[in-house]
Amino acid sequence: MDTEVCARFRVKSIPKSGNSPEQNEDAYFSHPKKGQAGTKRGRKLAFAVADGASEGFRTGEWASLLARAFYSQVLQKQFSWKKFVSQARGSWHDHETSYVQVRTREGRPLRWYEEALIQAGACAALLGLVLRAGQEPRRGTWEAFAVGDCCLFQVRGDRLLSSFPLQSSEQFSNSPSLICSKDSPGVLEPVPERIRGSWQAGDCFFLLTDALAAWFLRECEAGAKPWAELKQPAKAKDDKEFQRWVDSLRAKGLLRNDDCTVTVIELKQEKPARGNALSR
Amino acid sequence: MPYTAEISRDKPSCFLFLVDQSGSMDDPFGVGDGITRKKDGAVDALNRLLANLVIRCSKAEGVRYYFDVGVIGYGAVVGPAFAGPLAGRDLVPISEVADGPARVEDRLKKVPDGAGGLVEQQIKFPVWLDPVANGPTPMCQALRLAYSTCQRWVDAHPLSYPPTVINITDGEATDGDPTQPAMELMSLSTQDGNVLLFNCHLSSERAPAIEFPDAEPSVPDKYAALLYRISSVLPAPIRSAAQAEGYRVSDGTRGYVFNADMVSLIKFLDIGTRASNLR
Repeated sequence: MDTEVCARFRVKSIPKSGNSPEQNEDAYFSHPKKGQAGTKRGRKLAFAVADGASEGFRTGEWASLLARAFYSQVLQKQFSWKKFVSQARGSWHDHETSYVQVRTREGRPLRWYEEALIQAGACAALLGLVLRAGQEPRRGTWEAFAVGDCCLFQVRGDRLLSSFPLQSSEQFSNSPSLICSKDSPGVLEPVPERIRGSWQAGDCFFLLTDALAAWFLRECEAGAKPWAELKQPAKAKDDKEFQRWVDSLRAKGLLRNDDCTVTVIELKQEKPARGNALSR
Repeated sequence: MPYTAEISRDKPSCFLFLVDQSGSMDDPFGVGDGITRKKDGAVDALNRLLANLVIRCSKAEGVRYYFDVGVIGYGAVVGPAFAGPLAGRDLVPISEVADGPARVEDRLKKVPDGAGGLVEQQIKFPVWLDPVANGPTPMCQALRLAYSTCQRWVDAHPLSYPPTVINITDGEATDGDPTQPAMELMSLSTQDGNVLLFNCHLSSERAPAIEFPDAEPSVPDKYAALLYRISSVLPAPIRSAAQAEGYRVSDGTRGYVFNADMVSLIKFLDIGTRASNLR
């Protein structure tokens, strides 16, 4: 019998305090249709979160493009990181060109600082996760790719099994390595960090952008179990509950004022694939 | 901890530039072709500082109000020195600075071609200030005007990251010892820390550039030691950012540069994430 991965996911994403939702430069991609929540099944599932740098030209859109491009590329039979980045840059170049054309057509040519921003390009951190079904039901393998400081945490029961790519809250800085929209001389091409592991039904993965990830690691370092605290507001149907929780952490000075995104993925006991139900 | 206030639209900070426009700025600059005069070096440094500050505050929807910005010129006269639409104004929101250069020039910039060489790239170069070299060097008077400008600002923004004052000069004050007015300026504070005074020293001496030293610079310019002494020690957050950018710093590192611009200082400001692989 073909085994499948069965995962329930939910995403929450809110801007830094003082910004509107449109100014949120975090991005995610979990499913082409299901948006922020749902259950996915398949031999191979993918998730991505990305975080546009504060500085640069429309970095939130670049982050969004990267998350979507990673998702679709990694689900192909052969995944090449180089090809993924190069295609994303190609799409971005087209996007940029048409944006400039529209502005010119509308009689609103770019200001000098917008031209400077376009020349510099946009940068973003990216974290991508792939879950693969194994030989046996309810088990499988996972692989993650990261450039920058978005983090993955794998939790089994009451234990933190994996922390990737950062393991300590001191590793966060204001200048992480990021994927830039331009392959220009003087820009060092970042090599993605990669990790492989195994999962079993009941495991929970958290994909967090940097402010939340730094909080998560600080809590771990203090001997707490932040996944237990984060799970409830992250899984709540009501987005306001997550907003209230983030606000309270920010008010206590425990969370840096930044865009906050969490994708929580719970591995489920898979249901029998269609067509196999009668044979059971 | 001081100097950790978030710079945001609710709590902007302030940049005040003091630009030496005295007659001695007409002398050749000790860097480059030997033809460039110090007044050209000064306005180039200022225009580039302003352009970088604007770019760091630019977002898709426009330029965010993270700073109030002022330019005080000192030479034959002491006062606001913006040229063009901002002429006569003392502190201006950065968004207005972005949209208010006197003109935008097309210039050529040398950039790496990826094969070890350089290629010329056309860039827009906004100009807010033109070179002036005329009269004495009333640096004390400029520092006192900076004091009153900053005092008004800190009174109105008690919780903000404190003002950063950058003095671009060849160091020859003609109205007395600038130490006292500089100390008074640095004694002003918000709840987040004291006003920071940094000095960008442009000299006629052909000596190598020095950036952010932690001891009196040994250069053949008699004003270097004085300007070093009236430069603030870099606060810890700026020091860490400077270190991340590859500068060697210590607890005593001061905001002083000799025959160099201070554009790197803009990178040290904590107004969000930037890529470490961009240089």
